[in-house]
Amino acid sequence: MVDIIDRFRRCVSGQEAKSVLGEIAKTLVMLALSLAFAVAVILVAGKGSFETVRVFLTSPFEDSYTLSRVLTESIPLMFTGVAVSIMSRAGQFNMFVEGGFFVGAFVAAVLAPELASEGSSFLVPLFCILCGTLAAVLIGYIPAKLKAALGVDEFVSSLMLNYVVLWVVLYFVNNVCGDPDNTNVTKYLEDYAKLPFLNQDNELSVGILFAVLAAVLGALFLYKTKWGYAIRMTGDNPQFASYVGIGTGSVVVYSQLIGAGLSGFGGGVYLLGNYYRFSWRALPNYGFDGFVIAIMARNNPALVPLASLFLAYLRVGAQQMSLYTDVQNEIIYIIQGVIIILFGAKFLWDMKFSRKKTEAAK
Amino acid sequence: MIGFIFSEDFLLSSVMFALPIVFAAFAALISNRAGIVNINIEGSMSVAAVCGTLVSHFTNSWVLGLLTAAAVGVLMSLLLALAALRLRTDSFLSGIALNTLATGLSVYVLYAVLGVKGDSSAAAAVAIPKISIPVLRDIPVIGKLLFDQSVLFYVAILAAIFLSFLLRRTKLGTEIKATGFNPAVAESVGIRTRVVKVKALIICGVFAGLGGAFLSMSYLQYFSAGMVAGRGFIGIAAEAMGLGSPWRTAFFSLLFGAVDYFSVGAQTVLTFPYELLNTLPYLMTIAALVIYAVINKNKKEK
Repeated sequence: MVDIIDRFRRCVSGQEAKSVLGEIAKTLVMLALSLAFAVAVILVAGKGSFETVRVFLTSPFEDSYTLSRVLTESIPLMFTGVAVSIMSRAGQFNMFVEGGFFVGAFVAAVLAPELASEGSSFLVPLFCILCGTLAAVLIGYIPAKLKAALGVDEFVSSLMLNYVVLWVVLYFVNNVCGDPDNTNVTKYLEDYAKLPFLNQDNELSVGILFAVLAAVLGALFLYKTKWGYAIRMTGDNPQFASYVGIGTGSVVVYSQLIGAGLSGFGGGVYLLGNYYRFSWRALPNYGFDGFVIAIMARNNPALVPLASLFLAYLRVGAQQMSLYTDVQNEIIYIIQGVIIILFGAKFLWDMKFSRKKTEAAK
Repeated sequence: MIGFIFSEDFLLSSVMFALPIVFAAFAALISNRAGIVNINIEGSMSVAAVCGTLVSHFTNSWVLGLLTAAAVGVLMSLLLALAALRLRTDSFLSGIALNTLATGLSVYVLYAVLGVKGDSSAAAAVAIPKISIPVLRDIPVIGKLLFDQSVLFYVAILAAIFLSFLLRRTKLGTEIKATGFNPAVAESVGIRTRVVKVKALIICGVFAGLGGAFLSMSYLQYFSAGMVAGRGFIGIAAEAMGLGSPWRTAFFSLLFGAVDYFSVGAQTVLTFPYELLNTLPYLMTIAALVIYAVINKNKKEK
């Protein structure tokens, strides 16, 4: 672990120090802009009062319970954010993050009550999560291979695959492996079938540690391994990458498999950490969230936790706001959309860049 | 089962299920030809659907509802133009952003007007009427298919004619094709590609709006959250099969519509789990994408 932390520090400091710090500074400016926009939307479109804005901004920090909800909400965001970052870095726009998360959660929730028993180790739920990960990787292989072998657009195919996964999972929940005593849900997860809590009082699961670990490992993978290097080369310029001997076909496949695996793992961790059974009846939209996070983090897994915490903070704030005022929390989607556009806007990044240049010229 | 597929009802219902996909595919066609990827058709349809149905309810006029839906579609397209062309956010990312935004916005509009979040069945739309031509509609088989249809059916046919005329015979069409084919060259011969792209996006928005209106003002008379259910994306797939031609695109949309209806209709005649039947339109889309890719690949190798 010390070794990993040390390597991570070198990755963050070292050669890339200047650019990473610059990235963080730019990111913070953009976060401030999005927050200002969020407040403007609440005041104008939501016709909210300043009290509404206060609830939105400060309620997540009110007590340890809301604070832990921010951490909990950030878990799926971190996993899907890292998954999308790695795939986008390879130039792959794969939406299977959504389906992967869904199927990973489902498989873990079905296996855990069967395999775990009173007093069994927490490795049992972990094993169930890994099975879910495997399922996600296997299904995620379809759009990846189709893209690499035939050039089938991974965006549309993965999106369609999500709906297929949704209905097949619902079929299994309704007919094959549902809870015999309840309709439309899987079996109840006893505490021994779940991931342990870090803090029992405010229901924070160890999932948050896995999520941060995923971000750290994702960053190391992308910036410190030859596979990560191949991914970045392929994303920047596929022709050049294949010219210098990088097997871009296999990069296309394994980047998407890693993405699918991370989302499946995230789904399992989130479900066994924070739910008592699998009861989703629709896709939970974490795939699109992954894109929001990846954009905010500029596709850098090291920045994913920061972006996820920020979005989770906005969401908990919005939930509290819709609980205590009559501004609805759907407003958060509008804000999310604008965040993607703001962060993705080359116009804004270039503007800042050229200003810096002119200052340097002076 | 066989009887079910070859019934008149199956044909008519398939056409009805195909209409929103046709409009979505036409929307994708015109923006793709101009070289701008618009994956926000799904989101545009959703916002247009809710606005159209509400306006038709409160003004008691389906025409105003339909026009509103088209206008909202255009507004969503202009947002994409603002993001992708002005702020230079990647058009794909802008599309994802606007889809996310549309998810919230459609429910938000619903709540702001009616105070509910699920659907607008409390405020039923004035349905888009049928145009029914006496005598002709009694011709067997094609009578009901061609002469007893929703206004939007005829609009879709006009749209196909309009699109092929636009692309083949007009200056704007040529500019759109040139811009999509090679923007740098188009720019060098004096085409203002950004303006051309905005124009194409406006047409795209109208189509997306009409597709949304069909769902909430004709197929159903109210909006419900998630009712577009991937049809915007299936339209994109149909456009890909259609290789940029309006008529071929319409044909593949019809095919998708038939599968879509089959997955719903077969639930009444088959004892097959409905969940698995629901996967059919999506599986079919993937299969079609694969076939299309194989054909493309073979062509290239020749």
